[in-house]
Amino acid sequence: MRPMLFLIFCTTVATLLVGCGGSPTKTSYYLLRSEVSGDVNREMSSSGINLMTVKVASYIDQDGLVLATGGGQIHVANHHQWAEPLRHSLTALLANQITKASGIDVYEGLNALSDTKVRLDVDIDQLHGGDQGRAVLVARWTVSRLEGAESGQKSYRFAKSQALDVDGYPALVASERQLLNALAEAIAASL
Amino acid sequence: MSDMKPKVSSGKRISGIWFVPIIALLLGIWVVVYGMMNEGPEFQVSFESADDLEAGKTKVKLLSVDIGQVESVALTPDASGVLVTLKLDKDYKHLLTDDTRFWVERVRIGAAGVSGLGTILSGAYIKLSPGESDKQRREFVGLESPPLTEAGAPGVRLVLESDQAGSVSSGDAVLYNGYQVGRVENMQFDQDSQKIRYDIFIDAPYHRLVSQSVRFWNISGISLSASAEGFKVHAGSLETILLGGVAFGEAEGMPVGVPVANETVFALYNSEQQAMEQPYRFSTRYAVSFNQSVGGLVPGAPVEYRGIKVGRVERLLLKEMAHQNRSADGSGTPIAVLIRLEPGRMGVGDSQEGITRMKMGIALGVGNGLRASLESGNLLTGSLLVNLDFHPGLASAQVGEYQSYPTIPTITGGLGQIEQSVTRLLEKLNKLPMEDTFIGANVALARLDESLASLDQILDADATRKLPEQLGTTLVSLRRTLDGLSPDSPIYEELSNSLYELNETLKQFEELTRSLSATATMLPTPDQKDPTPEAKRL
Repeated sequence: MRPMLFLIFCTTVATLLVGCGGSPTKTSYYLLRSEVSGDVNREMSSSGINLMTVKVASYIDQDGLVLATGGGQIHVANHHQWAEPLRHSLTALLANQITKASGIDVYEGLNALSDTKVRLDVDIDQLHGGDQGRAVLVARWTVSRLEGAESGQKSYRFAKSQALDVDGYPALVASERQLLNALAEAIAASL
Repeated sequence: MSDMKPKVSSGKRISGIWFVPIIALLLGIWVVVYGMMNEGPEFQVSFESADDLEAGKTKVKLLSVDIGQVESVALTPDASGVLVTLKLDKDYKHLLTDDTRFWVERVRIGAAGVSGLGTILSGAYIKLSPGESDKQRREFVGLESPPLTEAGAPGVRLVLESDQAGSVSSGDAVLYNGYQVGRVENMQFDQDSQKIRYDIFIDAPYHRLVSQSVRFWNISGISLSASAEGFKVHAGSLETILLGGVAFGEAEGMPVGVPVANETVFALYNSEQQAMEQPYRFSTRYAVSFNQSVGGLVPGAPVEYRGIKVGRVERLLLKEMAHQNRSADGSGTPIAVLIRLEPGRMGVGDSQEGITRMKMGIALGVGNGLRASLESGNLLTGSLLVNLDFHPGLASAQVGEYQSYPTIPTITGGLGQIEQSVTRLLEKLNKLPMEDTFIGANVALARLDESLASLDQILDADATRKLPEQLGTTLVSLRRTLDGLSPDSPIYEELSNSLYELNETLKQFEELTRSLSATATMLPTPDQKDPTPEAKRL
């Protein structure tokens, strides 16, 4: 009996050692932020606009990048993740890109320093990599003017896809960034 | 040879001397009879006085011809006047008819002018104006003033009756559309009817203008009237303003009347408005009694039915009120007012039948709430009018009787109603325990004063004075506390970071849970690679 027990123990240890012996896959983190171009040092205008909310669809509001694999299936990457929640990074990215495109200072959320008469709400409906080698962005936004002759609300819709330059997640992130820049320009044009 | 017979006679013969007295007697009889047959008639005329009259001297003249003489002047038995006996020439005895008029012609100076200047030298005389009657007469009443119309002048002589003498007098003009067509001859007070009678004469051919439908009114002087319908000024010509006069005309809308005969009696109204307001011949009277002041309600004031004039106020029944019993409830005797309603104004016909229909309508209306009330006709002048209207909801009533006049029930209306409401309100106020209330209020105010004094003490206390400062300090602290929790505060930032870290931890725990659930074994699983996004191949 004792030789039998020893054999089982050795087999288990060997199995554990084999399982732990492989090297784990490295996780990559991606950051969606505006690229800094040149030095900026100025006071923000108090008459800018307020980017009140940026809502993100629940399927992309997670750490991993989302890739559509066909047949209506998606894959949330385990080893390619966003460095911060998308709702944070998208708010900062869009605010900076809209300011760049329109020249109007954009405050994120309800900021006590702002005395804005225009409110902006963005809803990101789709943002993922497609199975056709393209990144897809579908979004809606609403511009609310609180005063003046044009007071009232106007809603807009945006949908665009961008082909990936090369294979890989970095290329997917780059395409999604281009799509978000295009969205910011469209929003700036509607202000 | 013839027989010679002696003539035998009695020897008694009437002496011829007797013819002398017989002839004298016959002559006397002849003289008496002749004198009687050629002497004019004697007659008597009474005057108020014998001024300028002298027996045996004063002549009787017609057209400046002596036709008689005053025989004697004597006082009447009651010494109220003089009785003048006159003798007229035989040839003119036919002039002594029933309507012959006599007056003393002397110098007269009056409003109509100066007349009789010729008598200054010739002396006064009695003037005769022959009449047209065939009936002989020997006793006359002389005129105190000469008739203004010549005897036998063509025209029509009328009689006007008025309640007041006004300013019309003998000699005043009678005008038709401002043109003189006659004159007032005489005026006198008729004791029987208690009215002033004016004798007027309308010259031909203007007498044809006078018919049954004309109305006469006084145009003397200037008339200023303030009635329920406002202020009105009436004036005739300058002559009538100064001397007075009478005008006549046909009422608008009245049918053309038939010509009138002499001595036809007309009413003399005080004004044209009054005359034209009463063009209807048929009317009936009602009495209405008011338990309120009738100040401002004057005779002639309109009686209206919903704003339409249907009659006028005739007078206050003051004499009749004296016979009425005073009311038992102490509210005093109601003021009875006599009103005249004209059926012609109500559209039921200006006839006796119209009166009957109007009475039936009023009797039926009173049963259904028809009441009379005093309304203000003119707030400026305070004039009142009597208003007839239906008031549904009132207790049923019927036409009564007041001193032989039918009555219409009344209600208090207009300003009187407001006055009564105010009076009732004041009575209620008087009944309120004002004194007790004021005493209670004074006590309450005294207590309030005490409370305020206590409050002053509290407010003056140092602790109280420090309250605002302490409150301000507290608010500052509260603000600081709230600022500490604001999105810009470090606490908020730390809290946000903590929540973020907690969220990350939970995600990792969730990932671990999912991994354990997927393997279902304690053994490690091989690491799965993510699919690689591929660029589109060209």
